[in-house]
Amino acid sequence: MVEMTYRNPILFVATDKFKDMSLSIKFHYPNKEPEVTYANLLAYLLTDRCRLYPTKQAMSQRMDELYGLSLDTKTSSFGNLHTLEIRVKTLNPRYTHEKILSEVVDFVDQCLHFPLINSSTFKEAKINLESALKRIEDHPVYKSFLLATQAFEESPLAVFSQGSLKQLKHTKVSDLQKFHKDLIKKQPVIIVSADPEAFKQLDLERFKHKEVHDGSPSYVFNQHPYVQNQIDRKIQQTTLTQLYRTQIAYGSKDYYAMRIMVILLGQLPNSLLFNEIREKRSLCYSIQASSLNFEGLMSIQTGISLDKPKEVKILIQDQIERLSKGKFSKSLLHTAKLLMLSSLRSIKDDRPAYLNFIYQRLMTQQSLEIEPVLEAIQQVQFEDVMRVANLLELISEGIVKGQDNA
Amino acid sequence: MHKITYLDIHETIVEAVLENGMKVFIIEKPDFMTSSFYLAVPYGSMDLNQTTDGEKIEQPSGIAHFLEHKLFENNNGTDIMEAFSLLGAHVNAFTSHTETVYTFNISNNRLKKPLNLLLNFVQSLNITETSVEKEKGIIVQELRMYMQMPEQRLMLETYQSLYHQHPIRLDIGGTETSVNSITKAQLERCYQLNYHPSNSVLVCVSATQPKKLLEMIEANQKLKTFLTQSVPLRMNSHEPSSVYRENFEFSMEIQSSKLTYSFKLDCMTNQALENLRREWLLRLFLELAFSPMNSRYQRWIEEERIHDYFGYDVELNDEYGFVMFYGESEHKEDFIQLIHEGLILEEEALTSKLDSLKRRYRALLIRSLDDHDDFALSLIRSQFIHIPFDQQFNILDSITYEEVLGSNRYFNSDKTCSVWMKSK
Repeated sequence: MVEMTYRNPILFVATDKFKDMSLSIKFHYPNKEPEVTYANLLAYLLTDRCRLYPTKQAMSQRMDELYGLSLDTKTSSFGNLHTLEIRVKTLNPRYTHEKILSEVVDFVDQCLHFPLINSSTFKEAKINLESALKRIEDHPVYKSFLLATQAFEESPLAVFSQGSLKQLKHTKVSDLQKFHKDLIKKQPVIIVSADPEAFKQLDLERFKHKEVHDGSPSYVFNQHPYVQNQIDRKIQQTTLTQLYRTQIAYGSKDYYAMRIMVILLGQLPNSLLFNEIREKRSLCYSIQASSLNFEGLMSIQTGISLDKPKEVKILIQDQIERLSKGKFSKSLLHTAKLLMLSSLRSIKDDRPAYLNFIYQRLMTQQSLEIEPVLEAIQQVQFEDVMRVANLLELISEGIVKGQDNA
Repeated sequence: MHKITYLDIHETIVEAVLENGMKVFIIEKPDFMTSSFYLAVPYGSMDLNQTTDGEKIEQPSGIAHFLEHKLFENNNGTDIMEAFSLLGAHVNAFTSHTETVYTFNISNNRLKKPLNLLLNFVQSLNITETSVEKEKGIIVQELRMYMQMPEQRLMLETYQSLYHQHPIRLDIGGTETSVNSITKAQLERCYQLNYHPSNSVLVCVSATQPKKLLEMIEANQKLKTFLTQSVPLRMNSHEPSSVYRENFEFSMEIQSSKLTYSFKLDCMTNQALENLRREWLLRLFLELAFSPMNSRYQRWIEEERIHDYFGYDVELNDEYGFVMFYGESEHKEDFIQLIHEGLILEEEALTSKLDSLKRRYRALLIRSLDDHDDFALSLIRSQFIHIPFDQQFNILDSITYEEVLGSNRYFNSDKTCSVWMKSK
């Protein structure tokens, strides 16, 4: 049984089926630099040390006292906005036999409002972020995605959600102190998922603020020059990312037809791309399509034999054409709808996915219930899929090209 | 049918052994919409040299993984993946060093058809020469994908430095050469030897009544006949106790050099429970020595000797054992020195720290039971090594401060290797 109570700005999701409770605090701000790099640096500092627990050892000890409390931060792109989330999980009191939840809230309060931001902790966070960004760039799949997006400098699309090495070099400790100060003045979205009994122990009033963050996440990407960026690497495979404009906004009339179309194209185990490119021709191990819901975009990613990119690109184009001309089976459409419905119906079993669903719906001012979404998916017809497939327009390609002698 | 309720962790598991020997475990999750099913065999990438009824069988590396791919092949004109999708179920599979697991999950309570589908497709192999040849291209692309991932490559080179002979040194998927050499006949032989109900474990995680689920499973199995056969055994690889390569360096197109420094362990016993206990001792020791729990950790970071991409891994079972440290550094010797400094554990208030740590791990173990995959795999693995799944809790509770301190005797400085992946 899951029940929701919304006492603005805190949303309580009451459920007693999990063995822990979860508290998610999400801040958002414009998806642009330098904010995104600042947020990624702050993500390290919020979980590292704070005024009351000024060493890593003291933090670790306190978290263990609170039954292995986990304190994580996560940053992500959200269309026009960028999000910094603090997520706290701790064991449900029915396993601890101690009332620790008020202490958990005190601890989170300390971490959020009084993190140690000084030259030493800042330097450490910079090293960690620089290292993480370099590791991401070393990965061919991420690199090809970055190559595909970097051309659109005037758009949030070109802002990498995990920060920028260039911006990092110019960031000072004072920039971060100011960013933190400004951020915590504003009201975050707070979602608590816990046993109904646990709510009684949670005092979250201190997280309420008068200032609100504004801005809407959703936009429809409207640049359309075709751009290709390629780099060579001494590896045995070529990784390709293609980006397409869908021209469909989040929550608009055709939104679920677009989602279904993407599933048919490259998410089902028997999707058009998987069947034609992997199963029939053994040209790749994995190939998938994904929708960037808040940007009005779709991506296709695959790793392929060195000499096959041209053949694969033609095959991808053929599958999109099949969709737009209605050359796919009704049974495949039925399967795509069934799997999307099935994932949604079970979303309450997957707490991070469910909390994310709620957050996205809150931010886009849509019903927090699952039923309207289920109904919208059921309404999608064969012709709707054809229509949205016709709107797809290839706008960029990022290629990490392997070499024969690697 | 046997029902066990674990009061401390609020879980109930129903166990049964079918007439054909298959072990069935049903984890009751009354509040969950999702039902998940896992059919597992104790056959993984390390099972390259087996013996059965006095016969020795040698197979190319990657064959267990290849077989996993081929079981999804069309059976009687039905595409397995499509058939699951049509029922609204998500199907998947994986091969590890020691087991292969086939799984599906579904969010409605119409379980009979997908459950029959799982049992039927795993319990029959239907392949052709053409389809085996076709699969080779896909698997080669999979191997290449993993080899271009720096972390995967570093891990593989570390295994290859630690071990002379043991099959853990080989990639789970094999090599391009070994994959290309695999034949239909070899796949069929491996299947016949290793996929028998008597060595299979089926785990169901569901809100559906266990009795009803068990009836469905029994009805499916009663329709099938299986030849009686001996369980094949993995042959000992006669692994020397020394490491294969003490120092190994190679380069890749990466921006920061990465390295591992590993200890080959020789504290394995033939008792699964004792190995598990020793693995826990090492895990606790390492966490006390190489994490923020220890004040030295912060000092190492402030001195820029390590950063947050630093960690360790430990594995210990009856065949092999190692502790591996990993990090990013341009100064290999300093990294190695840091590891040796850390192994000398200062005794500052260790007792209270150990209690905190045990409390953390106990909480993590309990929380992992919310995850169907984690719970089911923990149950499957404990079955394959013949220990009750909740032994982890008992072991953790009973470990003493003296034992943890004493576990540093398992680290032998003469059996170490470093692997350095340098940026080009």
